[in-house]
Amino acid sequence: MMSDKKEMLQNIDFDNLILESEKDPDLEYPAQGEMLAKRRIAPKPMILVIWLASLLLGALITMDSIHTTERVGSRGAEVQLGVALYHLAHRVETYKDRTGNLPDYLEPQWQESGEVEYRVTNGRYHLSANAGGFVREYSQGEDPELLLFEVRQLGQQEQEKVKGKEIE
Amino acid sequence: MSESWSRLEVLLLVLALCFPVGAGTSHFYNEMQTRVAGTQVVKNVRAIAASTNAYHDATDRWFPVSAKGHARLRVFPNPFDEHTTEYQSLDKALFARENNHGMVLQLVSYDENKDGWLNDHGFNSRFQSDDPYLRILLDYGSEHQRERAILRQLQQELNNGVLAKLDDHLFVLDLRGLDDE
Repeated sequence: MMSDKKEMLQNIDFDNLILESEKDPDLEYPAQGEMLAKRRIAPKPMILVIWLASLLLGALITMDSIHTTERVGSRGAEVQLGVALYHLAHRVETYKDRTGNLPDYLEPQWQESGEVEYRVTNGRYHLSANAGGFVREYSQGEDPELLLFEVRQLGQQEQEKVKGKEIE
Repeated sequence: MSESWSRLEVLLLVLALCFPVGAGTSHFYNEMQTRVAGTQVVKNVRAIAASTNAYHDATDRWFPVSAKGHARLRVFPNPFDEHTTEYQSLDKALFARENNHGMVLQLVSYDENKDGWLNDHGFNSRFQSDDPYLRILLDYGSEHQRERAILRQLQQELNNGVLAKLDDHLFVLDLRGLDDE
């Protein structure tokens, strides 16, 4: 029995068997997988470098994206109040045009709604806001252009600073 | 100690790579959205300019008579006005916030008494009484990246010198000479 096996092993052409196994699709994957498992793909510090670089890159892109949704305001308080009141009065009037009624409250998604007080008395609405020591009010029926007129006056005063300045 | 990567290391690496890829995709999406928004605002402005110029060519004036009947229209569209005045061939939807990504567009008739300051802003030619300009009220302000990008696109795609900044939230665009190209 043992001598039969010895004889069989001696007769096998091992070189040819290895070559043949390369062509065998059933043998290919396990062999490669085993090799990959044993092979060192990259030195360990490289993992850390890639990991940190990825985090840094992701953080930079995310910070840039956050900036796009960040609300920035560099206006003076008086200017800010006038434009804020105009914006909200415009929204209230647009709402009234569409529905026929005054809104019951200022919707949170309306910009600057948090800074302006809104109340309805005798079927008319009133808006008021205060910031930086300034108080501005607007009541339904008043000329809303005056809210922007103040802006223009300030624009004139500050014109020397901004003249010729293009959008960056 | 084995030199091959452990599953944990591979997982961490995949997660670390997913982070910038995801953030980059989101950033690219936002950029594209801004680009699309800017293109739409430019298109609306051009359409407004084309309509007002056509109206001027046909009637020799820039604005219709107000529905009140005694004065030329000052602001269009004006939700504050109890009397709705129609501006022939000019679609109100072009001015709406929802069609301009939060920006309010208003066509304004130049008034020397109220708008005299406008001629100090270096437009290509001086405004005369009843000349039209477009008032742009920003939702967030010009420091906001998307609105700033839209304004920049307006400035680039329309003729130079048509846009003036009065406040972070208030811009004026000269409609004269602009047309739907």
